[in-house]
Amino acid sequence: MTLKTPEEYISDLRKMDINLWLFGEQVKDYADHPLIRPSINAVAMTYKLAEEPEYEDIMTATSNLTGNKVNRFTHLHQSADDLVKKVKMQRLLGQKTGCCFQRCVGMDAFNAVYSTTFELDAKHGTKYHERFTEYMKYVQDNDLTVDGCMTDARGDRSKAPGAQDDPDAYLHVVERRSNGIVVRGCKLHQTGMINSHEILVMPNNSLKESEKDWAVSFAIPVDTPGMIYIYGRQSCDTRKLEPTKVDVGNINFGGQEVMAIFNDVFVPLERIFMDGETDFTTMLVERFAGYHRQSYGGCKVGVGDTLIGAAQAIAEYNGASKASHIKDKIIEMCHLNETLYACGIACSSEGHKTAAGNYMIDLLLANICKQNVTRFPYEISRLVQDIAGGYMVTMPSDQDFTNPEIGSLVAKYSATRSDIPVEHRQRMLRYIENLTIGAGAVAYLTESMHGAGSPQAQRIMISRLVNFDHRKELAETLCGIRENCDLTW
Amino acid sequence: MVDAKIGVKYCGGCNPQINRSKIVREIKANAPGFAGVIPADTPEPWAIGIMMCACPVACVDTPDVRKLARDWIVVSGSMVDRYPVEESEISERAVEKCKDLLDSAKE
Repeated sequence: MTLKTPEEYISDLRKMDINLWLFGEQVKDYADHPLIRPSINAVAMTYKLAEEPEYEDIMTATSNLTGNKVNRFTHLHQSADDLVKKVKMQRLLGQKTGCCFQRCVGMDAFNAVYSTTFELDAKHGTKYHERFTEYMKYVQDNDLTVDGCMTDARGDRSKAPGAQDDPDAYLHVVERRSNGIVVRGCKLHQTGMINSHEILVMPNNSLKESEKDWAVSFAIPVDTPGMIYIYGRQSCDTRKLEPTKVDVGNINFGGQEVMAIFNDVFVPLERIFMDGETDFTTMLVERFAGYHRQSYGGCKVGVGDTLIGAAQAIAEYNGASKASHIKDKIIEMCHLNETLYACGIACSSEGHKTAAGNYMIDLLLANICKQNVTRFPYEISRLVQDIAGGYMVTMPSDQDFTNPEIGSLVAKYSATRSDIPVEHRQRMLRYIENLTIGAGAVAYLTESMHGAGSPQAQRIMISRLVNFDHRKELAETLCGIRENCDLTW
Repeated sequence: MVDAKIGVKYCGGCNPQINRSKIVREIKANAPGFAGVIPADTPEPWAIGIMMCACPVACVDTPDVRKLARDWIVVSGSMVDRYPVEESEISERAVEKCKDLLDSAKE
C-alpha cells in the first residue's frame, strides 16, 4: 500500500494513545474532539486529493527509492519540476482547506535530512543516510504524515544552547546507550504534530563543537512513551464547541499547534540520523528553513485565494462591488497574492541537484519569498477588512439570528441586497473574521510572520547570499570607475 | 575522442556567485592538458569538461552539452559536483578531480 485513504488516516489517529492536554485536562479520543477535528480534516484532505484523478499529477509522484506511486508529501524532489509541483500542490490545498494543512513541514524535513545525511556520511564515514533512506521507504510505503520538528523552547535568547542555565531549553541527548539515546527538551509551535504518525526532530540552530549533545536528529512515533503534548489556544477557538457552526467561519477546517515535551524519550539506534556532528547543523537548519520558506509561497497563496474570493463575495453581498475603489482594492489583493506565488515558483524553478540527488530550492529566492510572506498577508487582510466593513466584528452571534424572539429583527437589520440571504452575509463575514483575527489568523498571519523563521532570519540569509561585490563592480564599470572590458568596438 | 584534453564550458553567468574567470585561470595554470573552451561543434568529445556555472542552478548542464566531453566536473556556484566548497578551494578541487579522472582512464 502506498496511498492511504482519508478514512484510513483518521482510523490510524484513533488507534494512537497519546498524552494530550487541552484546557488543563487530559484528552482521550482526540480524533473526534470538536476543537481538534477541523485540523485533522485539513490533513485528511492531503490524502483525499491524492486519490482523485484530476489532482493525481500534482498530488502524487514516483518514488526514487521504490519506484512506487507516493503521495507528494512523502516525496524526495527529483527535479526542479518536482519543486514547482510542490508549490502548486500547496496552493491547491490552501484553496481547498482555507487553513494550514500541516503536512508540508515533514516533507521539507525529509528533503533536508536526506541531502544533509548524505554529505555528512561522506565526511564522517557514518551510516545516517542509509538509515534515513530506510526510514523514508517506511514513510512512503505507509503514506505517513510526519511532523518536522525544529523550534526549541530556547530559554534566554542571548545564550547559546550549551550556555543556558537550564540545558533542557534546547532538546538534547541526556543518555547514550548501546541501542539508542535518551533525549530531553521541548519543541514549541509544533503545527499538526498530534495529527501526525511520526515526528522527525532536527536541531534548532547552528551549534559549536562543544554542543554535541544538542546536535541530534531522529524520528519517533507520535505515541512514544515520554511524549507530552499541550494543545495551543487560538483566538476564538471555543466557537468550535458552540452548537452552531456559522460563527466559526471556516466550518470544517483549521490549523493546530502543540507544545511537545520530550520527557526523557528513548530513541532506538536505527532512528537516529545525527548525533553529535555539529559541523552539519548549519547545513541541516538552512536547508530545512529554505524548503519551508519556499512552502509559504504556495500554501499562503492558496488561502489568500479564498480571502480574495471572500472580498469579492462580500463586496457583492453589500452592493459595493461596482465601486471603483473596491475593485482597485481587490486587484491589489491579487497583485500581492500572485507576487507571493511568483517567488514560490521562482525559487523552485531555479532549484538545483544536491550530492544526494534530490533537489534543493534557490536559497536566496526562497528567503525573498518568505520575507514577502511576513508582510503581504497582513496587507491583504487589511484590504479585506476594509472591504468587509465593521459589521465583521460587531455582528451578533448566530444564536441571536436564530432566536425565536429577536431573530427576525436581527436579520432585518443585518440585511443588505434583497436577493442575498442574510445568512450568506453572516457566513462570509465570519470567514473573513476567521482568517484575519480569528482562529485562522494563527496560520494566515502570525505563522506567516514567524513560521519558517521570523523576518530577521530571512534578512540575515539575504545579506549572506547576495554577491554585493559583483553588484558594486557592475555599478563601478557602468559609471567609468572601472574599465569596461566588454567594450571592444 | 581527443586524448587527455581538458576544457571548460561556461554558463551564461547571469547570477555570479563565484569569480569564474579567476577560477578558470587557476585551473589552466595547474591542470596539464587544459586546452580552453570546448567548441560547441567539436567533432569528437574531449576527455574532461569542466562546467563553470556561476550559480547552483547549473543551467548549462544539458544532454547536448554533456556530449561535448567524456567526463564532466560541475562547478556550480560554491559547489563542485554538488558538494559545497569554499570559493578559494574550487580550482584546487577541480584540478584534483581532473587528475583522478585521467588516472582512472589510464587504468
